[in-house]
Amino acid sequence: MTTTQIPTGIPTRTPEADVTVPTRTVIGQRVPKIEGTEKVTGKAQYGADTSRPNMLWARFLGSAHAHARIVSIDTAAARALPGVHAVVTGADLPGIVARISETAAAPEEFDVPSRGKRILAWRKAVFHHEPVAVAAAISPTIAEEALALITVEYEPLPVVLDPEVSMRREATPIHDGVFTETFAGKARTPSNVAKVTEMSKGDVDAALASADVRIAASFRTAMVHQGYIEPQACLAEYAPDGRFSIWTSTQGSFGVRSGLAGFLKVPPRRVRVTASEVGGGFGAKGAMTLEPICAVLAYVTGRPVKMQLSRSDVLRATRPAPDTSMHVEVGARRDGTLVAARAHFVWDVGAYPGGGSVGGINCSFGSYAIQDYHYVGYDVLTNRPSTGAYRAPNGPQGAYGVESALDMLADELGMSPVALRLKNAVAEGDRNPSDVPYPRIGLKETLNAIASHPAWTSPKSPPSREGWLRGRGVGCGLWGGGVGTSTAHININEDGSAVVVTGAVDLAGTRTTMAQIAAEELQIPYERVQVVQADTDVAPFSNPTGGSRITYSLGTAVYRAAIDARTQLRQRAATVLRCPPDDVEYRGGELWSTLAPAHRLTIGQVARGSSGSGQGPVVGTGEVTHLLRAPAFATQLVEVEVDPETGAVVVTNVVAAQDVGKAINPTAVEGQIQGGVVQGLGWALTEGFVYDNEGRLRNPGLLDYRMPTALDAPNVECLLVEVPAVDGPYGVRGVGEVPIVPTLGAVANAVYDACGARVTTLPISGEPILTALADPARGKSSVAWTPPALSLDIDVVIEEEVEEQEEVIE
Amino acid sequence: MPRMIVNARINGEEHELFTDPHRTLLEALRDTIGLTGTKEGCGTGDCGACTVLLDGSPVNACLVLAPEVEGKEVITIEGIATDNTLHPVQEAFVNEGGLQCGICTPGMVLSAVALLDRNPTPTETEIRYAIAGNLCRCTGYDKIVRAIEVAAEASR
Repeated sequence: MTTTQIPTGIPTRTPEADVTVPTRTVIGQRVPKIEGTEKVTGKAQYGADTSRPNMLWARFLGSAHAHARIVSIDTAAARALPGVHAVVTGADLPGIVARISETAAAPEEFDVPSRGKRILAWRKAVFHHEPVAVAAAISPTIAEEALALITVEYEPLPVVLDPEVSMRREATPIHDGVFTETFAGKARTPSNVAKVTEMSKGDVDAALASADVRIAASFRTAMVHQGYIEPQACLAEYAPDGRFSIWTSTQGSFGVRSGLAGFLKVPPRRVRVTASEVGGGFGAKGAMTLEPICAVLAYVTGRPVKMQLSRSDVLRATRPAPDTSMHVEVGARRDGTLVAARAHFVWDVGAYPGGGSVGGINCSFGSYAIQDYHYVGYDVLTNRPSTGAYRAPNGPQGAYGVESALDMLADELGMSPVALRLKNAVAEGDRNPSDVPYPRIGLKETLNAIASHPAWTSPKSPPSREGWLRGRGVGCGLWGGGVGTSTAHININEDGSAVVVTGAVDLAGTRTTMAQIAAEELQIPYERVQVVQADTDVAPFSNPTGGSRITYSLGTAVYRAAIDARTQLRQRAATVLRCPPDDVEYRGGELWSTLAPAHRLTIGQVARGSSGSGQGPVVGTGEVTHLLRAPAFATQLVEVEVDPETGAVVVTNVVAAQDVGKAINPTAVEGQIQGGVVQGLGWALTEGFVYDNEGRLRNPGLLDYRMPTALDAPNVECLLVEVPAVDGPYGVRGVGEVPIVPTLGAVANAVYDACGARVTTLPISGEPILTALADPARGKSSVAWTPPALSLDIDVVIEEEVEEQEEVIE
Repeated sequence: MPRMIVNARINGEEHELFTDPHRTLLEALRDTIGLTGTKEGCGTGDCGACTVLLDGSPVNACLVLAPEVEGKEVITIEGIATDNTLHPVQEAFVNEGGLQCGICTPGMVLSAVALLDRNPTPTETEIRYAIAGNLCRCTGYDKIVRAIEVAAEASR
């Protein structure tokens, strides 16, 4: 697949640049993945691949009801089964944690409406298949047999699955302890509306009234799953010295350490977490899942305990992405200038609070400069699994609505959808919906890249299938960028090679990028750099991997560590060369005194000499916490063919333009874009949870939860636009989240272009297209649904920065 | 039922698998002889992460009962590289960026090896068909397809 790298004419500012650094050698190169050999030979160790002697296997029993009071749980028969070492229920947890921590834990602490704290349903189950008991046995089979012997007496409660019903004032709260949170404070009475996020500016009513053209439309997306191929897996061991060792598939080993220490009420030094290779995370492995259960079972049994979820467990009882109902109104002048926007978003966050509404709104409307607006987001509880982060959380859903509405507006104005977006696209200095100004960004550059691409400028070719219709659509999207703390060490070996040590988890190839940065700054060949992802006892601290922050933030830490190592090498060389450090030249892995350039030392000689001379080894360290966010934008063009008889959709081509700041490894960047786009195609066309009226998932397997296969996926051509970010190394921007944001809307717009059906529900394929084709209005208008008045009785005013609320782990 | 002994040739070596009769080949490989390169993504034959070669044909090891491999030849990802040299398919996956998280990679590599064994000059459609039973959630498949094309070229 060809990739076009588009020069933008803006010079790159390299922070802390050393003027002696020659032209870049390895930054921007397509080097092979550093960990590739381990992965293609089956040697890489994932969550389920670690075992310990004398290990037990754990399985969990899920609730038979989506909403029920747990009257009693009888585990006697399960405990009596030979080979079973422990059966634990939610009622046992306070006592076990009290023994572990040697502090009395109040039972109420474990009965709070928090998925992270209620690791086993207690007194009440709030979604189907929510874990209610776990068994540990000498084999997985015996653990499963034990579960079958547990008798749970339930008292079923009314199940609410529709957030628009659940958020009504008269609805019965799922939890007694959830009080609506707003920017202004917390409500006094419990409700199923966990959070209300409101952003507004100006007089939106007046602005809408003054608009020449107005569009109003409602949209609904389905609950979807991240679809990582590796089910969550964890192994825990407890040692008599009071320490827990955890091997787990997680996006953040330090996050698990602090989370688990908090849960067990022990200091973090009693927990050692080793992150395995992660077989796909996409946000879902940022939160703890199995670690507390495995740790408790390891403590109770005194033996290592391994637990691996089945695919059905993964789909029924982990944290998918919220389904979203939204209503979007936009108003524009005749020339296409957007003057006003109003929208509400209802996120079905499932049975426990969580979400990330701010990011969702910022991703939905953040691509356009709009003077007057009013946006409201509601996190609403239902009896479905609690939701979590999935690649640019809540961005794709919102952008689907907004990008569809813009397409309708372009249609109404008789304007090209690309021209309409270009007219309103944000640029440096414009503000996002949270009213934060953008630094240098590249949305317009991505739009121009699509506008001049032959796939957009050339006439549509006829459909390749008889009776089918062909169309193309565009969409824009953004991700605000991830920050957080990152630390790296670089050890210089006596042979002149280097080892980068980090505690950040590599999800898809950032070890390679880090090696490139270290090689570049140390001016040594890429092949001489190793990158080690160490456990929490060994590695310097880093926040979890998420929010597209690693290359940006950890990259800065590695960059600084390399500069530090270089500085130390110059100082060491100065003593050997008997000259001031400032006179030491460092180039191409060699050091010499400018006063006597003939006498040259290699890095290896300096490192060896330092070890021998009593000066000690060279270890560079780099740390970063504060960086300006580097928002990244993308524009995508999707071409489809639609069968008007069946509603089938085939995606024939995608062109994805993205501002990546600087592509340190273009192959890796393209991989992120292509993967994100294809996930977006699945979300748009075929993926979606289907529940029965009792709240049971009807498609808990990968045959019926239909993710794209190699036959479904089109070629995705990547246009890498490089508008350097203001902060971070080489102007790089995070690239992981953005590519999924524009895709859903672009697909919907392409389908409309092909057959005239404005589909307002996802997934699009099949029936929704036929329904829309039969609708005489054909998406020109839709009936607005207005959220009910909430009458929030706000208690305390919480001073919170809007931006701080964005700290979710993607 | 009592455990049983299953004799099979695995990656060129004779093995006696001591297994419950209801356990799958996947479980026998991973838990009995420690070959954890074969991955479990679903256990129901839908994702292809556990693909191995059974007498040369790709199968989902989660859908094969361990006793079924009696007297047969099994090749897993651990048996693809020889003498510390990567198979051309493995090399192409590394060089072309045909992997990200890597969990689907062992199964993908085996499906690709099986394809090239019977069809050394596949078209793109034939490649996509051959790996259609192997789900990948990271790459969007593009670079995997390119890697298999490169491997086919290199093998000629």
